[in-house]
Amino acid sequence: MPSATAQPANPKTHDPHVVRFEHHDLVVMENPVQDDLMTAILALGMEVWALRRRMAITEKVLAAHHIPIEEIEGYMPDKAETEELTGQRDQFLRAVYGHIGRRGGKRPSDLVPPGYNDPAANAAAARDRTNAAVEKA
Amino acid sequence: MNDLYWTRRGTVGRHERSASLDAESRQDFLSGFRSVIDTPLQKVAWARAHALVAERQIRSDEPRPLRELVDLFGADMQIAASVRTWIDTQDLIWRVVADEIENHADAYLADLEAAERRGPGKLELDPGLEIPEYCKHEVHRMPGGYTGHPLGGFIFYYGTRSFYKGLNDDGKVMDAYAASIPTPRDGKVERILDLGCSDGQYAMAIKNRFPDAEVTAIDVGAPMVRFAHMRASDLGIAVNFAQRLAEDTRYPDNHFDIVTAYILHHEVSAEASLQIMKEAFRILRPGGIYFPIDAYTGKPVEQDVFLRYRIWWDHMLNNEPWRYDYANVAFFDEMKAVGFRIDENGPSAWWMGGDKNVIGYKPG
Repeated sequence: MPSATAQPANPKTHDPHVVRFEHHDLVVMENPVQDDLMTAILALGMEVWALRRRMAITEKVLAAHHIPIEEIEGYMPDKAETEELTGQRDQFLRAVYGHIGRRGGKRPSDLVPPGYNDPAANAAAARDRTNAAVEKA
Repeated sequence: MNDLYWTRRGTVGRHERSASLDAESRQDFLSGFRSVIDTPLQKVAWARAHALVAERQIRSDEPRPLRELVDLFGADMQIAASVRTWIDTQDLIWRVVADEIENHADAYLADLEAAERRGPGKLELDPGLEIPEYCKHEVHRMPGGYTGHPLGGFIFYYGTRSFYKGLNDDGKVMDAYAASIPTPRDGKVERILDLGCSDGQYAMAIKNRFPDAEVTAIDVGAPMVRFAHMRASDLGIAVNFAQRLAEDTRYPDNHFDIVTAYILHHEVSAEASLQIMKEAFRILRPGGIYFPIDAYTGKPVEQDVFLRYRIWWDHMLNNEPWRYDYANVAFFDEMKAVGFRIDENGPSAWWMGGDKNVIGYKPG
């Protein structure tokens, strides 16, 4: 995830003291590999669609400028372009597969201590809060 | 970096296009995924949950301990898959948007700075404001939350496009909400306050509906009101934005004709929620209206075992820190307790579920 603290602290623009979300690594499937695969498939689909949408738009622009699509098939990238494509490939790999290796180990049940947020206690707390508000009003 | 800014890519109606074609396409995918895949997947999860409950002969409204429900529903892989895809789309939404915005941070920050003194509305910042701890969370897993990222307004604005599945791109959802706001019986609407305004879209829609009223909108987060002011200025909409607390607005007694809040109460602690109701009552004039739009304002979470589980994972995994508290708030009772006369069957402005929203009338 992007770093929210990359910008220097400035009370006019933001408060750098943030309670960070701490369960990014949570395993909700039977094992972490299943979680990894589902995340990868979703990210991959997103990248494929972004590519297809760009290609469709590119072809419309080329057609508007009377450039035959066949030229794309025969194009030979030079050295600098090859290096650029390699960098973009690596970025693509990190975007789709960079999360693999989720090993947080915690399960959803680990986040719920026995007795946490039970209905009877919740109802009693809600009653107390309302009664206190009535007394103050 | 200004050449990469959205001015190059133009607008679609009132919506400023994303900074790049790829970011726009990724958001397009995620909005589509939420509509086409995720919504049916959530229905599958509901069906599976009902089957599990039936198998175990559990009554749907039985007050089972939460841990038991998390064990039961969390162990089912169809339900787990629906949770996994929701979490993944949520993280991808923020990653796509925040990456793009942080890559061009200088340009976005400069734009915020340049807009600060521009009209037609005013911007009031309070660098000395003591931000309550309950506000400092990364709500919805959004990097920095509402208060902690200088570009949080941009991130929120573009990220929530996928939340609305693209339907709010031209502000249509906000226009519909603004159209649903009830008015005082005497018809006088001179001053309106929107609490917890985030990126300001709702406040701007309110101003468009009530062009003769003075519309003010407040939020605890400087990133939110700075962005909201910039957007309002760009669109020429005269809303005043201020960095203030909804539970301590510092406006005079009996000052506003209407006070609004859009999905604010479920994102604050139960104690803060009650304080916000009290504050709304204090600053409304007799005959004024408080209209808080939110989900489940009158339905305690205990009604359905799977709903309790879903609200729990929304609370814990989607990082809605106060969602579980909120689901247990007796909203109508608390509104009445602070002095409002209420109408439990107000307009159903909640675009996804169609739940009724409560209207609070200040007697007088």
